Amino acid sequence: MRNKNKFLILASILLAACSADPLQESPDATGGPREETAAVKICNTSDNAAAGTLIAKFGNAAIPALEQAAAKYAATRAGGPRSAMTRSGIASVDEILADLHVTALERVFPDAGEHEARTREAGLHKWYVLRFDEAQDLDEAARKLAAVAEIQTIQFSVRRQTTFDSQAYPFRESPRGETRSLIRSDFNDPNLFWQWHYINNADQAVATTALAGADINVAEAWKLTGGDPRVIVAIVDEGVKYTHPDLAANMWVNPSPSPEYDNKDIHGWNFAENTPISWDKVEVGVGGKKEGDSGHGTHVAGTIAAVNNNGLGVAGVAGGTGNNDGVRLMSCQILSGKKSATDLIASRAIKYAADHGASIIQCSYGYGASGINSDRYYESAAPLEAEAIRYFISQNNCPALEGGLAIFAAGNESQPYSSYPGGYRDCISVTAISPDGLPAPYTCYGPGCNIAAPGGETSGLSGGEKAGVLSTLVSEVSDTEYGYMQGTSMACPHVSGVAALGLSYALAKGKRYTREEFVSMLLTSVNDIDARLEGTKTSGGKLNLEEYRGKMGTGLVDAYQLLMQIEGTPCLKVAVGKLELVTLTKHFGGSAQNLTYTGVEISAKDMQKLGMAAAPKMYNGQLMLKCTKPGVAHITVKAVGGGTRPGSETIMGGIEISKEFAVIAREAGTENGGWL
Amino acid sequence: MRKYIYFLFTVALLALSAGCSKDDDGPKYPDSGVVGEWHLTEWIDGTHSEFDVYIEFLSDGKFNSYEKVETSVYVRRSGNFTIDGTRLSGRYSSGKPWKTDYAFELSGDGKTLTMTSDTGIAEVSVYTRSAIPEAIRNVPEVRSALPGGFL
Repeated sequence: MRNKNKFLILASILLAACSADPLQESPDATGGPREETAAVKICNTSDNAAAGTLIAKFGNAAIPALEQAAAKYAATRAGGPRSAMTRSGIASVDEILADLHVTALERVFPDAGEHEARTREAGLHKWYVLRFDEAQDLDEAARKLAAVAEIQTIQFSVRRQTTFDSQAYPFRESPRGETRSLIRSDFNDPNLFWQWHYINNADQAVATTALAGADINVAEAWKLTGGDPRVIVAIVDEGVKYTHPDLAANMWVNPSPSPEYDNKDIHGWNFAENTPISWDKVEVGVGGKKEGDSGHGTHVAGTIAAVNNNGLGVAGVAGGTGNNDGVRLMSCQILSGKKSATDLIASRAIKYAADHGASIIQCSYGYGASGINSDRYYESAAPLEAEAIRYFISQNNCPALEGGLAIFAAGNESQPYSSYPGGYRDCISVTAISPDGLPAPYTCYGPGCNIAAPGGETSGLSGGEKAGVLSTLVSEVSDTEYGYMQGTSMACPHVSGVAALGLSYALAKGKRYTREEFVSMLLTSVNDIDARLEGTKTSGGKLNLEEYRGKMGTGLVDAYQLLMQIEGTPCLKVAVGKLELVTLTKHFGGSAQNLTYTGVEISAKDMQKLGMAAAPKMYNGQLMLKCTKPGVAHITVKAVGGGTRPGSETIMGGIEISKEFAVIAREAGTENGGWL
Repeated sequence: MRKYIYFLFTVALLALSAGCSKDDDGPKYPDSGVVGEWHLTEWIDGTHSEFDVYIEFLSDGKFNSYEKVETSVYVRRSGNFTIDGTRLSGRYSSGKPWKTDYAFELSGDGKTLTMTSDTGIAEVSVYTRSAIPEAIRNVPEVRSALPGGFL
């Protein structure tokens, strides 16, 4: 495959999506559709794979010999300091490597120094990448390698795409429209006014259909916290322009750059080109269209942590309060110029994030219309990336959280299921809404999608690009420092930013959560979208809104609700002697009535304490219980975060969320909210 | 004339003293052991970490309560209370009365206040004398229009 033009690759992906119905290719009960092929080791196909590259996972037995050969090679530095060995030191393997004229054989994940022990425990040291001539037929190479007994898995390094439409619209100061309500923040960032996605006052200049409150409710949250520099968010995307005046102060600075990266990995690294970070590789291609870097990474970084209250530019969800207290941005670059992210590139970037202190990976990318529609299929087709993600979420890089968070965009193919990796059970997948509080026409929805956030709509609404998400841009690319973009790519960093704000607040409160607890809190800090999903929406296309009911995730993310959950869990008060039906808004957010509940747990002892004859249960979205004695009991309620069933290995679904809270039963009436 | 002036003076004095209602000047409960700042330390069957309540009874018959029960943060309410022998009753500043009256008992050392509700199944609350933290004192007052706290 000699496709060098990114546009052609994109077109071929879209064509592939049109011609094949991915849902018909459902995997059989035993796993992915590859089981029948002769070379079981080859886990994916060469469609859209990087030329001259193969990824191989060696068996345990081969590792000592491989590592000995590598050590020997390093000692001689035969090909120069940055070159890799070309042979494994294992005769049977080298026979094939010679046949393929392999020019490099090295670990996918380099020796991790202080983290090498845990890297080996995760088995990540067994992954190797082979390089050979780009003219070599990939399928043939894979078949030959499959004959090597020492190799367990062979993977083509497949390309990814970003989940936005490659268009950036410069910010231009324009007349403000009428507004319906005026919620303000005290931050002095001049363009905050146009960031409807943070504070939506239904400015008519943004859209005549703009809805007051269709935002992430961050103004209230900012009164409590603006971020904490101990929280590091890795931007897995195009390079972040770390010299941008509204980003520079919030960039992560590597306390110990490593020789592995020429000691130049100061704010991150460009894994696409294996160079320091870059953001301005643009070419004018076919028909005068700009190709290459677009400012995408800089834009999503700005949504998370553009510097707040600095009298300049825009605001970021967790950009601080003007006291150098924003969260920190790490640039883990996987796209560079026209070079797409691949399995290899993305996996290396994710591991780097884990090993350098990030607690959140912000990933506005995914497989396009790939046909991957289950966790098992994803794990079998992209084992390297799946392992890298699992490694990331297992590391404790923030004192407030056990583990890490992987937040992905749901995809812009308007498909009724999330794209992967977002749809994977360990990842949070974000759908997009517009200033009208309704789904954006491009957003994916349905199984695998967990939560919604503003992604904007730059055409189709009356305000044009002003209805997009406003953030930082790359002036070398867009001739401006600030501008609008749309996409689930833009929605995703809102959730990453809210999560980062939550971790910041938890740090301030000295609290620590497990992943399950934090994800449960995040996915239940929402406002309801479903109530307005009826009829149609016409903006560039016609959406049948009822199709989106229950499919946008748990609801629209709300930063203030998350902080309140971290503040403390309220008790649920019920009256003694009465059959109570309670909507769990306090614990499950605005979507409490629409969630699919999977169970209610209470100990026999607590039931007895409160004199409950029957166990409490969920009924029509409400908690039903009757207590005959006053007292306090603990109850755990479980629900699905996104959709009607939790995801399984073979079927995409939501994330299991669980809330524990106290029920306090009192004798006298509950209309009076006071204690006495 | 002097008698007349004395008479007017007396009337004026009486009027003055009658015009000043009992509530306006002087403490209502200057000596009551109930007056002071209290922290709920036991309710029904023991201590509970899931919720928290502070109450201060003021000698002029006003009270303030600071509670974190149905909200994630403390909220403040206020009103008036009345002591009638060993019974405590009260009304919030919104006009709504307390859920119930309480029979109260003070410990010998005056450090513990036990309030028992006048309900079908009595709820026994034990308060310990304890200064209310500044941060909690400064929380906003709940007004009836606010969600999550209706008086």
